[in-house]
Amino acid sequence: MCSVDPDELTVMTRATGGLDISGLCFLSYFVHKFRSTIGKSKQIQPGDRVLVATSGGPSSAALLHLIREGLNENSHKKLRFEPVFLYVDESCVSNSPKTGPEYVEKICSEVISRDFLCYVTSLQQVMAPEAHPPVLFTKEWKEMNLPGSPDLDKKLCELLTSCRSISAQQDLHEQLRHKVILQSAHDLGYTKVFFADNSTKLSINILSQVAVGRGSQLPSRVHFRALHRDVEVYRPMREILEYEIQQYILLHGLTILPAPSFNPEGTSIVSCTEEFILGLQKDFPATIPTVFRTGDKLMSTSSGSSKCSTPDVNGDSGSKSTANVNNDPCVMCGSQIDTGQCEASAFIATLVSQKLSCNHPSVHTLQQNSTNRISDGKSKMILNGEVNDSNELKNTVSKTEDSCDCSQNSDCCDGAKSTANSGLKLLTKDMIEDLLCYGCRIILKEMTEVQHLPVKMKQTAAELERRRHMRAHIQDFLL
Amino acid sequence: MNPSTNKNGCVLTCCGRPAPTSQSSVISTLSDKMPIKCNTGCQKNAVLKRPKTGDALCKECFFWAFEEEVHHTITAAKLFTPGDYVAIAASGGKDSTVLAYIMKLLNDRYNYGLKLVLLSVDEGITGYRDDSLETVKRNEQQYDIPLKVVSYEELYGWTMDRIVQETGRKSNCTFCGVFRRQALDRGATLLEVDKIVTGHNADDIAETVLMNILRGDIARLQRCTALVTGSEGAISRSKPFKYTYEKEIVMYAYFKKLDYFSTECIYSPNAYRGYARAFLKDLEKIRATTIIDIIHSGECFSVREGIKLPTQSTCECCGHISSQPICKACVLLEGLNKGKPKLGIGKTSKVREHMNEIINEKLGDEPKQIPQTTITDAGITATHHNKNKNLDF
Repeated sequence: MCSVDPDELTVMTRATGGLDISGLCFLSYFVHKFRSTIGKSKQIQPGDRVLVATSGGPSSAALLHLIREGLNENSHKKLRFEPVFLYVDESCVSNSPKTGPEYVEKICSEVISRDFLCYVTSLQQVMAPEAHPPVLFTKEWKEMNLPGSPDLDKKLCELLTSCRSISAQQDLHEQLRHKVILQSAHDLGYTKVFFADNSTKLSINILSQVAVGRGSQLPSRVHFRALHRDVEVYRPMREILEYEIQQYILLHGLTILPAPSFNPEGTSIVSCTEEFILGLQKDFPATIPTVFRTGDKLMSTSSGSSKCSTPDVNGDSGSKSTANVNNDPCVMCGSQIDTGQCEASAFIATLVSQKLSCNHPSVHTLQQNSTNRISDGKSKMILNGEVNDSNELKNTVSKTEDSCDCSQNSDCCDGAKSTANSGLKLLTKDMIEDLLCYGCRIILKEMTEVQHLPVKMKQTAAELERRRHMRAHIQDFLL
Repeated sequence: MNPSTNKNGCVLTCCGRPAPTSQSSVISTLSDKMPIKCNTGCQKNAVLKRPKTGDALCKECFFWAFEEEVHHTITAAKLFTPGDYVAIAASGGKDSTVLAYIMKLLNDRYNYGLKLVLLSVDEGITGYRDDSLETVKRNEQQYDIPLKVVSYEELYGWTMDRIVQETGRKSNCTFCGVFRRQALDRGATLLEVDKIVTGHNADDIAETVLMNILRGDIARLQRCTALVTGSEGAISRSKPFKYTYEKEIVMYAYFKKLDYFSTECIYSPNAYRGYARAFLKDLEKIRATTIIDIIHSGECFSVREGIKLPTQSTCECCGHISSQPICKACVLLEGLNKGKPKLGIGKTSKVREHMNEIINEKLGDEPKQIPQTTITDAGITATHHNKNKNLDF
C-alpha cells in the first residue's frame, strides 16, 4: 500500500526513506522537487530566456519532459520562462566518431518534437580561434551543417591525448565542455543556462573535485546558481537522485539516447569516486544526500585569506605580489585562482618539495635566505624538471617580479615586443602555470606538449603575461 | 655530462606525475637499466623513489629533503618561539617515533631553543598498547627525551578493555578518541607545557577531510586542515607532519633504522574511517599527489553565511572546551559509571533526560528550585527560545 495515499497500490519504493509509494504519488513528488528547486531560489523570473544544455542521457530526457509539462500547465502554476535547447556534439573524441551526425539528428528531433528550438554545436569549437556560433537544428538538417572541421577534430584529439593520465583527460574534457556551452550561450545572447546534473552526479562531483584539488571551485560546480563571467548557470535537477530519474523515465516511457561522448577506458579519479560512493550508498543510504548537503553549505574562501597560520601575511613581499595576480581568472577553467595563499599552505608545501627534490643540498644555503620569496621565483626555478646549475639559480633567486631580465628569460621580452603570434610560439609551461588555478596546474603538469592548448587560451595567457609585466613595472606608483 | 638526464630511466619524471609502477615498492627495482643517478645532481646512485614527487633520490638527499620540508612547515607557520616547553604526543607508532627523532634533530640543528618531553597515553588495551609503550620507553633512552605516561585508569577509572566489554565493538573508537584527547590535555597541563605536537601526517588529514564530507560535519571540516588548533585557555596543538606522506615517514624510519611498533589497534576494523582510508589508498594509486590536493581543497573551504555552527564554550562539569553544556567525555563517563554505556552514543535527548534526573536527585526535596547555573538551564532556555520562535512566525 502506498504510504502517502492509502487508496493507491504500491508501484515502487522511493530511494530515500525506503517508503512504498504509488506511481501517481511518486510523480507528484518528483515534479514538486523540480519546481521547488527553481521556485524557492526566486532567480528565474517570468519571461527569462534560458539555454538548456542537453546530452540525450536520462537526466536531460527527464528535464526536457519536465519543462514541457511545466510549460503546458494552464494555471498559475505554469512555468514561465522561455527555454531553448543546446546539444554539444562530442563524437570526434568518442569511440565512434562516425555515429555523431546520426545522434545529432535523433536527439534534436526529440527536442523539436516537443515544440522547442534546438541548437547544435560541437566540442572542437573550443580549439578554434573564432568559435562558430551554434547552428539551429531544423527538419532539413544535413550533416554538412554541423560546425567544425577535420583540422579542429585532430587538434582536439591531440590535446586530450597529450595528457598522460585518464584523470587529467577527463578533467580537461569537463573544462572544455563547460567552456563550449558558456561560449555558445554568450554567442546566442543568453545569460542563463540550465544543466541537467542530478544529485548523485553532483555528490560524485563533490568528492572527485576535492580529490583533484578543485575544492575552491565547489560552489560554482555544485550550487543551484553559479556565476561564470556574465553567464548564470543553474542546476534545477540537483536535488533529485539518479534512481528517481530512472523511475520517472520508466513511468513516462521516455526515450534515452546514449550519445557518443568522451569515455576513456581505465581507472581514473572520477571512476574510482563513483565506485566508492555507489558502494557506500548501499550500506549507508544517507551517504549521497549527506555529501550533497555538505557541498551545498560550503563556500570557497577569498584568495589569500584562507587557512593561514602566519599572523602577518600582509607584511610578506611574496604574497603581496601574488595577491595582484588573483584578480585574473584562471586561463583554462575561468574560475578564481586559488594559489595566492600564505607560506603555511599545501600549495607552497608542494613547491618546496619539488624544489628540494631537484636541487643539490649545497645550493640550499642560498635558498634559506630567500624562503620568503619562494612565491616570486618558484616558476623560474622549475623549468620542466631539469636541474639548473647553481649560477642560474643564484640569478633567478635574486630576481624579483619587478625586473625583467632579458638575458635570463628571453621569452618574456619577446612576448612583450613582438606581435601576438610569435609570442604564442614561445609560451612555456611555467609561464602558463602562473596563470592557472591549482586544479588546472595539475593538468598542465601532465601535458607533454603545451602547444596543443587551444589558440584562444594561449592568446589570453600571453596577453595576461604581458599585462603582468606592465603592472610590475609600474607597481610602485599604483595606488 | 648532465647528470640529470634521467630520461634514460622510464620511471623518472617531473614532479607530480603518477607513477606507472605500483607504489607499494619502497625501493625501485630498476635492475634492467643502468643505475639511476640521484635527481639532485649529487652524483650518487639513487636508492629510492619519493612517493610524494616521484623523483629518484639517494639516501642523503632524501633525508635532507624530508627534514627540510618539516623545517619549512615549522618556520612558515611559526609554530614555536624560543624557550617553549613542548610535549610530543608519543604512541610508539611510526609517526610519533619519527616525530620525536625529527624534533630533536631540528631543535639541535636550527636552534629552536625548545625543551622537549614525550607524553604518552595508556588506554589499557592489552596486546597493543603495552607493546607500544615499550617502544616509547626505548625512545626515551635513545633520544634522551624525558617521558611521562598518563593512563585512562588513573584519569577516568576505566580501561579500554573494560569499556569494550560494556559497550561492544561498534562505538569503541568514539570512547577512545574522546578520552585520549582529554588525556593528552590533562597530561600536558600536569607537565605545564606550552605546546603539544602530534604526529598527524598528510594521509591522516586527507582522510579526515574526506570523512567529514561523508558525514556532513561542517564545523570539523573547517577546522581539520588548520596546522595549529586550540582556543584560548587550552594548550595549542600543532602538526608538523601535516604535509608529509605516510609512506615517506615509513621510508625515513626504514633508512634511518628507527625502531617502532606497528600493528593496528585490535578494536579498529569496524570504524567508519576505514572506508575513507580505503578510498584514499585507491586514489593514491591513481595519482600520488591526490593527498596534498585534498588538503589544498580542504584549506579552501569555508562555510556559507547563514549556516548554523555549534559554538564553543566550556563544560560545566570539568571545565574543558566543549560545544555542549557538558563535554562528551563527561557524558560518556557518566554513562559508563551508571551502567548506561550507550548514553553518549545515542540521542542527545536521552542525555538531557539523564542529566535532568541527576540534578533532581541531587536537589532532593525541592526539584523546582533550580539554581541559575545548572545544566537544565540550557535545556529550558532552549525550549523557551523555540516557543518564541514559533510565535514570531
